[in-house]
Parts: sequence; C-alpha cells; structure tokens
Amino acid sequence: MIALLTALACTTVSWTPALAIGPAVTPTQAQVYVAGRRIAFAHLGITYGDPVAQVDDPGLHAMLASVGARSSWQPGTRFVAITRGDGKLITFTLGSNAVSVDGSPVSMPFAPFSSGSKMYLPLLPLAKALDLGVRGFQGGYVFVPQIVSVTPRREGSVTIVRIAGSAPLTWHSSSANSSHAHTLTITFPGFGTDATGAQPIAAGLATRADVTESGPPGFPTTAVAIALKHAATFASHRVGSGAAVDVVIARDSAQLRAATPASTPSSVHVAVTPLQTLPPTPKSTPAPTLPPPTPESTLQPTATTSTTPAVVPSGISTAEPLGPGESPSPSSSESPLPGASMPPLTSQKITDVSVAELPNGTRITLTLTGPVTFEWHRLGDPDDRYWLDIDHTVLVGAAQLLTSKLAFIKEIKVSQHLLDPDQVVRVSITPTQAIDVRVGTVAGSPNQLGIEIESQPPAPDAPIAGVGNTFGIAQASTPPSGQPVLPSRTDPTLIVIDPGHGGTDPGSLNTAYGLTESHVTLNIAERLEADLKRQGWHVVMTRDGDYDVGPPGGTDAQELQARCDVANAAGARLFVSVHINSSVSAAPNGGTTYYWQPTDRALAQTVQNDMITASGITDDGVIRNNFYVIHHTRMPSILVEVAYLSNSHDATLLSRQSFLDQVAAGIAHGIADFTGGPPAPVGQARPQQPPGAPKP
Amino acid sequence: MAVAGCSPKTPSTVTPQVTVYFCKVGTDALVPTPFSVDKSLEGSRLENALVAQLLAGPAVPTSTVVQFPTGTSANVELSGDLATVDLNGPITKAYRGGASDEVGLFKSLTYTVTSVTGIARVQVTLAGRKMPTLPGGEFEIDEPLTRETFAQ
Repeated sequence: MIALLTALACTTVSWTPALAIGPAVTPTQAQVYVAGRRIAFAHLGITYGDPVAQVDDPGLHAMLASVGARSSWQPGTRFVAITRGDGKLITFTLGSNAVSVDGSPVSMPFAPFSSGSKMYLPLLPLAKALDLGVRGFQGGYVFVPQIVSVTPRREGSVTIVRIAGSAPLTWHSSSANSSHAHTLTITFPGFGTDATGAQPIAAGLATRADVTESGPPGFPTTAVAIALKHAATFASHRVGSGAAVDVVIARDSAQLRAATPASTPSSVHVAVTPLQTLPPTPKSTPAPTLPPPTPESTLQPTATTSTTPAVVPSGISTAEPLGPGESPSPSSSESPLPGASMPPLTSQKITDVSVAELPNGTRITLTLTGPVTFEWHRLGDPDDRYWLDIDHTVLVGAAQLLTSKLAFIKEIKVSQHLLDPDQVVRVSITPTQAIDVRVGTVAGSPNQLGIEIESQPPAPDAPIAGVGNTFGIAQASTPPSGQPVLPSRTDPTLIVIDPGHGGTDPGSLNTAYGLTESHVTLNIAERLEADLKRQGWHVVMTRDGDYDVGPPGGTDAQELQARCDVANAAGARLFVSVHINSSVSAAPNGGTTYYWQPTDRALAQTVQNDMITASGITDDGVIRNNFYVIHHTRMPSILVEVAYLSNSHDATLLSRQSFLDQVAAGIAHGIADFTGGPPAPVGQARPQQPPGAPKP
Repeated sequence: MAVAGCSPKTPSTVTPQVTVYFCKVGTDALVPTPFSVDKSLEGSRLENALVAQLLAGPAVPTSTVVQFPTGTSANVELSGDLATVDLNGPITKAYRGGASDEVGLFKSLTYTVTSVTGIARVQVTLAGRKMPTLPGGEFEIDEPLTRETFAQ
C-alpha cells in the first residue's frame, strides 16, 4: 500500500492539469477491437502501463454497446454503473480498486481516478468484468466476447440446453445423425471461450457437450456440440436480452411445438447491510443480530426485488435498489468513506488470532496487516456449519483450533485454506445448531476483524451468505421467501458423483475375474445416483458412460480437473468420488474413505461406517490424503475406495451385483446420515426447532 | 566425478545415518530399514544411493511392502532443503496400481529422502516434468512432499 501511495504521489506531479488529482495519463495510439470491430476512442491513455479511458468517451460507450452493455455516470459523482447485456451490474467507485461485479468485489491493479473534471476507468478490469477475453495484439487490445456457460435442464418431455455468452449472441446450428452418433452443433462466430472441453450432461436426451474454439484469436469461433442419445429435433430461442440461447431438444416435432420457450430468470431479493463495527470491549454493547442494521448505522438496509443485485458503496446516506438499466442514485452528501483506507494491492497477513468470551457469545479477533475482502456462508439445517473466507490473506503460523464456552460450538478453526495461487484464510465454525454470526471491524482497532458468534439462533429469514470488506462495502443476500437457500452459485440440493477413471484410463484391472475399475466404479455410481435421487437429491455424474471427462487427448491433469470443474461449476453441496483400490500384493483387502479438508473427516467417517455396515466389507478406516479430486473441489468432498480389486475375496464380492448395490446403498445412507437429506423444497420449510433442541 | 579415496582431504569418520523406508501394503505403516553406505557419500550422491536402494526393494524379496514398478529409475538433485527426485521408466507413462500403493510409494520415497539431515522437502518430477499426479493416479505430487504431507 505504501508503494502505491508513493506511486500516486510521484505521478501526480506530471503533466496533468494543476487541479487534477490522480496519476499521469499518457496518450496512446493503441487500437482497441471489440467483438471484431475497431472502436475509436477520443482519448485513449496509458496509466501504470494499462489502458484507461474517460468515462464519457464515445469509444467507451461504443465498446459497451458492442457487447450489449450500457453505462450511466453523472459528472461530479464518484460511481459508474454499467449494466451488462445479461442484466448484471458492474460498479466502479472512484478511488476504490475493487470493482463490484454482480455484487462481488473484484480487485484490480489500480482504482478509477479523476484527472481534471474527468473520471478515468481502467479498460482491462472493465473487459474482465464484462466477461470479455483479452487477446494478444501488438498494436493494442483485442477484447473478445465469451461463451461463458452451457447448462442443461429438463422441462417436461424436452431437454433444454442454455448457452450463455457475455454479449448478444448470433449463431448457426446444424445437426448430424448417423447410425452411431447424433450430434447437434451450435456455432457462435466472434465468440471465444475459456470453457473449452467436454462436459457430461445428465439431462434427458443430451449426454455430453463439447465446447471448442477455433479461428484467429482476435475473431474466434466457438462451437458447442451436444451429443444426443438418439435422433431428435430441436429449436433455438433467444433468451432475455439476447446474451443467452436456449436450445430446446425434443424427440419429435410434436413435443417440440408443445414446449414453450424458456422464461426469463426469476427475480431475487437483495438486502444490503453495512459492515458492522463491533464494540471494543466484550461487555459494552449487546449484540444486535444480522441482518437488521444497528440503529446508528449510516446505511439503511433495503430489500427489493431486482434481477440485478444492488451494490451500495459505503458512505452514502441511502441505498436505493437498482433495477436493470437504472442508474445508481448516490446522494449529494458524498463524503470520504468513513474509516476507509486504500484497498489492498497485495496480500495481507493475519498476525494474531485470539478468542474472547462475551456475555452474549464468543468473539474471534483476527489482527490484520491491512484491509481485506471476505465472503461468508452458512449451511442450513441440519448441517449448520459456518465459514468465512478472507481473500488474498496469509495466516502467519500454523492453523489454530479455538474453543468457545458456548456448548453448541464443537469446533472453531482458523487455517490457510488456499495458498497458491489464491491465498485464502478460512475461519470455520462447526456448531451443533444454527448459529448467528456478526462480522465487523473492531471499534478503535481498524486493523482487527471481529467474528462474533451469538448465543441466540439466527432469525428464520437471516441471510445465509454475504461478502464484505474492511474498506467499504458489505452485502448479504436473503432468499425470496424467508426460506434459507445457499448463494446462487451453490445448489444445496445437488450432489456430484464421480465414477473414477473411464475412457482411455481403465484404472486397475483384475483379468482373472474380468474386472475393470472404471466399469465397477460406474456401476456403483449409477446405483448411488438412483439411491440419492430417491432421497430427493439432484445428482450430476461426472460421466455416465465409459469415456474421458476431460478433453479428447487431454492431459491427466485436465482429466482430473474436468471432474472437479463439473462439481465446482454446478456449485454442488457434496462431491463423492468412487474408486476401487488395488495393490501389487494380493493380501490387502477392505474399504477406505479418504478426505482432504479436515472438516470433511466427519463426512468421510459417516459414509465409511454406513458402507461397512451395509456391505460387510473389511473396515480399513478413514484416511486423510491429498488426492487431486478431493483437493480441487470446493465443497465437502470424499473419495471412497470400496475394496481391493487385487484381493480374491474382495474381487469375488466386486463381481456380485448385490454387493455393489449394498455399497451404493451404504454410501447413500451415509450421506443421508451426515446431511439429514436434501433441503425441503421452497414452501415446505422444515419445522423450526427451539434453540438448543437436539438434532434428530 | 568424485572418487572415494582421492577427494576428501578430511575424510569423514562418521557413517551417515541412513535409512530406507518401505511402506507396508494395504496400510500406511513404514518399515525403516537400516542401510550401509560408503562413508564418503554425501549430498546428492548419498541421496541417489538411498533412492536406488529404495527402488531395488528389500534385500529379501517380499510382497509385504509397496515397491516401485520394475524398470523405474531415479535421479536426485539437491537445492537447500529441497530434493528433486526425477523418476523415469514405465511409472511415468501409466500407473495402474491402486490408491493405497500409490500413497505408499510416495510416503516411502519422502521418508527415505528426508532421512538425510538437512533435507525436508521432496519434489517429484516425471521424466523431467512436474506433474499433478502419476498418469492414471490420484495422489498430488506437483508440490513438494514432506513428512507432514502424510500426517493424519
């Protein structure tokens, strides 16, 4: 931070006008291409080596228009709101190097700044916020719209594959049917993608989607090839403002006609809460619960229905919800952010962790070397774990286990959750009942982040996730009807099953028994899928046939990562990888469940217990090991090694369908035991338990 | 190339504390196996001798410990507390063993290499390249392994 301030101080003495505040802007002749078209800027400049443009530059408006976005900015105000083609909101704030994208802060190398009466935006972070790819070009910058997601779903008798882009889509479609393969290909000229590769689709008629990019980097073409189970007919419909297309696939034209085009995305409620300031001493103030703000808060919370989560910069007197295309309405009483300091450019450190008991709860205090951004989540009944991830932060020293006097707190852990390339410190709290947690800076100690566990349970409609930072914005989401839901990127009803190996990698073999690991894992996984669906879960398989999940000819790393990507992209609640063990020795036998995150040990143990009970296989225990797929998935993850293919007793069992069924039933039972089953559908909330009531 | 008898002006009088660790099949239990080496061996030459012994297997052949596939060779280079062990042979092409053997291989390798004073971390490479796992394997090897990697 000091380096930045120094840099700012040094650069303000350059050629900028006398009244200007901000770094130097060097004019450049660099060319900018967006979606294959040259964009003419009136005043394109270079600051800190990166391109910047004035907010009211016609080139900037042309750039936004070419991808279906638009901006609003009033001279003299500190905020620029840009509405993307898909309705998501981007907010730049003068002096803040965190740009808000759809409600989440994203850091950028330097903040928007003013020079004279002009406000400048950095173009590369803008392109990133617009989901545009940045491609190499010697004479300037090429921004390429992207195909960002391919999402299948089932609606009645038809299968719908939604393909979403970062700009209004134009496409061609074609189909190919042979006696062996039926493929539907949607081609998007001018679109690139970072999502190349194959993904299995477990929805109706479609089995797989292959996303490929071809053509010149500056004007690529992305093709989405959808493999079908059998010949089908299809239609494609533009969705919403045109940044997505729904490909409706039906068995015959009658079904296709009966299918209605997809509706636009449903609305969401958004509440905005300020970052709390926690009292300096434990006994001073009774703690109000989140989300109702403290009465003395300078921000009033609002809740509204909007398709774009609102982001309200701190320091303004009212926080008006924003709808698509509306501009933010900062009050005229703008003032410097209270207590705000320059957001972090480099990672911060946590130099001290302490815990203190309060009259009404427990406070964990983290001492930081500078401002940070964080994100928190709270799972719902019956798995009430809470965790808070602090971004770009390193924990000095070893992970710490803390204790609380609160009887319902089983474990509090502060640990380095990720280190490379992302640095994330996680505070995880494992309670035996739902807990309410407040997060805020400690009054009088702006470098301390306090996390307070309340002794009272949260209100039924309390938010279950939020983001915030210690230099400005705090935001939390509430569900539409008071029904707890996980954040939009997490599906609490979804379990991803990964049948180990497959395709070019058969895994272990036992030729004497005619057993191939990849076939046995798929067999168990298919039965596990059926068992879990009976429990009410949604299930996605990383593969549902004998094929590679990663790109054809891809590396082993791509293959393993592709399996993680399925779960991460879907925001699964749990990830279960099914494998069969093997050894050079015929002696070892039995089943083991592996985990990596220490917090997943209980899940592993529960599944292991139930698998052993159901199948009678020898219990080899649960073991912590760094297996790729349980390390690189972002949700509770386990890897089950069911039995040894290399042991004749186990191989005999693995040859029997009844044993494989028992194993699947045992794993499913373990998941039910651990989770309590999938969340109840909206409108059928679980009965609220009195505080402290034992779990069923 | 250093040759015993002509290089050290102050010959070592202490036998290096060397142990090769094998890993029992089906468990993560280690079998420490004392191993005599020439007193003059030190640094990477000592490590290479240790790893060669690990790859060769126990003096009395047994199927009770995990062993690297026949044809596996290794070269060890040292830098500070980091030993880089480059594996070559069929194991770099495809691994068809099970997870417990796979962990056992790297646990035995890590314990063996870090038995030398001053060496704490082991970076495994496959035919000269850092890889996330063995091909067809599950266990992550793209970051240096330490004894703590295998702590429960």
